[in-house]
Amino acid sequence: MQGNCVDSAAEQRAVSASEQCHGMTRRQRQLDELRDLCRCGAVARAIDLAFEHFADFGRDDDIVDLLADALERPEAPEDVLRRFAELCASQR
Amino acid sequence: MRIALLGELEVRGHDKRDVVVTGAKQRALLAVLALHVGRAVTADQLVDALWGEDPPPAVRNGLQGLVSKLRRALGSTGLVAMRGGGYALELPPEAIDVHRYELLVAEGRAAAAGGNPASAIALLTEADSLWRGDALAEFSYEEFASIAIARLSELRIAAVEERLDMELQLGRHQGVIGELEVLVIAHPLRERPRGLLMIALYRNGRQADALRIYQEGRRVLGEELGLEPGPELRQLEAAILAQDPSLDAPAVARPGPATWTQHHSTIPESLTPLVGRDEELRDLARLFDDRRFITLVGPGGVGKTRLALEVARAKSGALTYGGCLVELAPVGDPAGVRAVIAFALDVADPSRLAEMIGERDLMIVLDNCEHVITTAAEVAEDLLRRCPGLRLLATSREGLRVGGETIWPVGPLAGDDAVQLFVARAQAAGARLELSDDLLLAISEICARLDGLPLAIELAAARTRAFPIQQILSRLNDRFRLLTGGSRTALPRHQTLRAVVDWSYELLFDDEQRVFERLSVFPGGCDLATAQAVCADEDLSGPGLEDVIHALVDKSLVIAVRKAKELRVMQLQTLAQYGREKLAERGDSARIRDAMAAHYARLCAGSAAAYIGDQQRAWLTAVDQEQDNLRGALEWAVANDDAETALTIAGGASWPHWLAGTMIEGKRWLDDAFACGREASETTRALALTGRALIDFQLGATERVDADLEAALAIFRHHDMVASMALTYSFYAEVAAARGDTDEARKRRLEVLAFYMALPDDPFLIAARAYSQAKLGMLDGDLAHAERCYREAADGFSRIDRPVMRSMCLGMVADFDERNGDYRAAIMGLEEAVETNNALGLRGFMGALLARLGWALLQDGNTGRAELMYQRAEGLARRLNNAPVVFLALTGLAALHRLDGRNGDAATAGIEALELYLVGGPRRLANRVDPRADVLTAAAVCCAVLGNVAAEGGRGEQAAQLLGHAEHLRNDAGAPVPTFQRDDLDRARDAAVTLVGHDEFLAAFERGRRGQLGDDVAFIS
Repeated sequence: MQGNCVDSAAEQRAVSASEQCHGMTRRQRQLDELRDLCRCGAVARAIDLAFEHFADFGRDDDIVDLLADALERPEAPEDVLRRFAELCASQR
Repeated sequence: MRIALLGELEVRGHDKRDVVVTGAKQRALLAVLALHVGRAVTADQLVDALWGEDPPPAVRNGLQGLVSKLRRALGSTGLVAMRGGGYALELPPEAIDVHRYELLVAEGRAAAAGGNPASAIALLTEADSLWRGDALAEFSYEEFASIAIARLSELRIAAVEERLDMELQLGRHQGVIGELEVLVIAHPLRERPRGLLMIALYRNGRQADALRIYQEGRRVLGEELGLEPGPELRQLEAAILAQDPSLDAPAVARPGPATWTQHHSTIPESLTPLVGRDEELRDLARLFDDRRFITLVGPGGVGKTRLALEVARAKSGALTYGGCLVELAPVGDPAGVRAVIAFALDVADPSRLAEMIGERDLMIVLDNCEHVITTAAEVAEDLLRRCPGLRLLATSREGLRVGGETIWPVGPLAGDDAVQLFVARAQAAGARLELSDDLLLAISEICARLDGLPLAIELAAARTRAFPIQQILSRLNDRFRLLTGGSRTALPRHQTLRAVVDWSYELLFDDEQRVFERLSVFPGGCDLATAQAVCADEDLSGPGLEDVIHALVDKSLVIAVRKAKELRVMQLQTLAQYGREKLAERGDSARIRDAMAAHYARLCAGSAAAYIGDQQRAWLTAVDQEQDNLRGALEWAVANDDAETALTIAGGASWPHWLAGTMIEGKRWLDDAFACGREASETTRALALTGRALIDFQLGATERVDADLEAALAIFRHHDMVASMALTYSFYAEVAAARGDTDEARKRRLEVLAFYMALPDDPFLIAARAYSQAKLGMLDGDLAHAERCYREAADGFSRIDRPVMRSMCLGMVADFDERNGDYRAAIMGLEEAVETNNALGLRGFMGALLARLGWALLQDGNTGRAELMYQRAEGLARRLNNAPVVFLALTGLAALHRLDGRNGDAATAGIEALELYLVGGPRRLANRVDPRADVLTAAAVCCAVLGNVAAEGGRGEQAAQLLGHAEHLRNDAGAPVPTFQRDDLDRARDAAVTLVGHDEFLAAFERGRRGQLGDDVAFIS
């Protein structure tokens, strides 16, 4: 990157499958849902669903990052953090 | 067109006449194409087959010339089509005897595997009857045929061995010895027939002969191959020497009244092996030795259904009439319980269930009784009281509280079994498990946490795709801790499954949850196309929806099964119930149920189009498969007073109900639909009026039939609905003819013909016009014209695949063939009609067709197959309450028993037939050239049989009277003495004269000729 170039990845994460929902793949719908869950604070469920997502589509570090961002708050429960650690350690 | 290869090559055209195919190369070409019917054979392969390694120059031209000649010989260029660099014979597989044979053998093997030896024997016998000589007899030296000949010959021997094995299983060790001896002589190195012969001889008290057979086999194997007999044969010899009781013949159940003659088992095979439950299976099997009614009780998900099916499979094989599964889960209205049981047993009238079951040994599994428990209990009690051979196995959350009931609580799986189930299901889900002690301990903990409930274990195991075992355990612990408020107290058992289902549901993405909920509205499951139609929305459709369904299958929340090559998805009752709750919570219940009902209404709205159109076969198959869903959709529509949907479903499904023989169910549907308060469109109402008229007429309630049909026709005419008019017209003319009103029938038939003539030509209309002309010919007594037109119509309907109309025409064409003395042609036509009706589940006409086929076979001297057909006809006709066909079948059986020297059986069948004939019985048969004459001819056969029996029993005067009355009936019918009775009648006459003297014989004969059967002519002694 040079000078004032913006990292496009952060912009692209904002593209939502739900706005152009017709014909979106299952994978994209799941990404959308994970994003929504993180946004509304249901991170525990998002982590569990991420396990399922990885089982079907393979590990996706963008999702790991998304969840990590969502967990960057002091009140994140212990068991949720533990689950996130398990997800990160997951090979799938 | 039919092509026969199991013997010398024979070809029969659509008109049943032999088609001459000359020339060795032409015949070989046809044989190669027939072996690959429907598939392209490349030019290279054909050259190789016909000319071998030394083809002449310009061989491709030679091949083309041969194909042209073959097309001319077959009378149609379309039959040998050029395809993909080769040629294909465009005929359905069932037109080739080899394929029909293979199908019958496969069905026979499936029946055997399903624990139905009687059914299997019947199918394998029918299969074997297709052989007329050696397979591909004239091509035995040709390379191309060598593999097929070897394969078919081996298949035939194996199928015969299997049939004889099953005959032994049913205790028929006396009848099989001759056949087994022939088999052993012909194939001395085959050990199986030798072993079967040993068993048969032993059971006949000829143990020395049995051992001699073994010794001969040992000698032959040693001399020819240097081998000792295999372990099974050696063990058999040892058992015979020890007179092991396990060799004794099985106890043969006493025969009940002659209705069903074969196993009626519909217990499905399981998709996965049953884990654990060995002890329960043994104990329950033993319990059924002296109990007749057992109810497996327990919470949802404990495996009641699975265990019941295993028990039923194990026990019903030994019962003469097998086992039958009745799934009550789809039944919404308790009034439907009897109807569903009747449908499963092929009984037309639910109110006559007990009468139809009678004394037969049969097991019925009533699955999922809890939501209709009161009605299920009433029906169970009634059937058990009136059917002494019946065994009932029910599954329910609680007992039915019926006298004689044994309640068997189904417990959870014990430790090791639970672990074994988890591991098996996890591996099936694709998990790669290294079963260390730690892992097994974790799995064991999970199973304990899930209280050993099989469904809960399956749901958890399915998640091993995504989660390591330890994480599944920790999640379940977290959830349960939440539910118990953090206490160490175990969750109450009835909440465990709920908790796991909740957990499994919450591990679904939103689209998966929606589809899971929506699939719960289908009581009969659904295919993928229907799922698309009902479960899709703007987010989710097409391949995306299918992906989601497959994901649900992977997670064990939905089951995928293959039914008739289509994939169907369904849910276990417990999960479907949960799905419906969630659907209601989401507020989507009414919308999705409306969509489901609308979908099936659209299916039924295609009724008239299917009657005349080229989707007839597919439509009838769909309607047959979707009965549970149609019923569910109708119940929803009626509950919501939705007359439009209800009348569309009930009206559209009416003529399939008629053809399937389920008219009482059809009537109930129509009555419920007409009772809806809201108005329907007049065209929908007209469709339902047509259906009501048809079913009312068939059930003998004729008061409003004409009014309904005329009202429907007026509406369809007004809206110019051609297909609907064709459907209604087809019944309109028939009802007048059936009640003997010839003038009105002619007037209506002319109206129908004018309607068809006014429409532009198309293949269906051309055939339909020919059919109407045939009907007019019958009404006018112009039989030659009628015969020509029926043949033309049959050919026409065949070319455009209208199976229903074709099989109606075939019945009439067969009648003409018989009158012309061409029994072989009649047999072929009727076989095709039987196959067609069988394939489409159309039981309504089957009995009549089978009885007619039996008659043609009897006339043709094929008594074995004739008896089989009559037995099937009788069984079906009794269940469907079809008295005329019962009468015909009993007549045929009486004649056959008499030919076989079984006078007692002959008398029983003959007496019952004549009682039916006399007591308001049949006077006219449907769809016959001479409906009245055929009844009289059949009654004459019965009188002649009983006359013979009387003569042999020393009752000369009775014999003379019966023979006289038989002659009177034949004269009235204008029918000759059937060939198969001629010798017997001469013998009976001579015997009666010897008994009573010539003058007395003549006097009694004359009294019989003039007297009334029953009043003056005694036939019971």
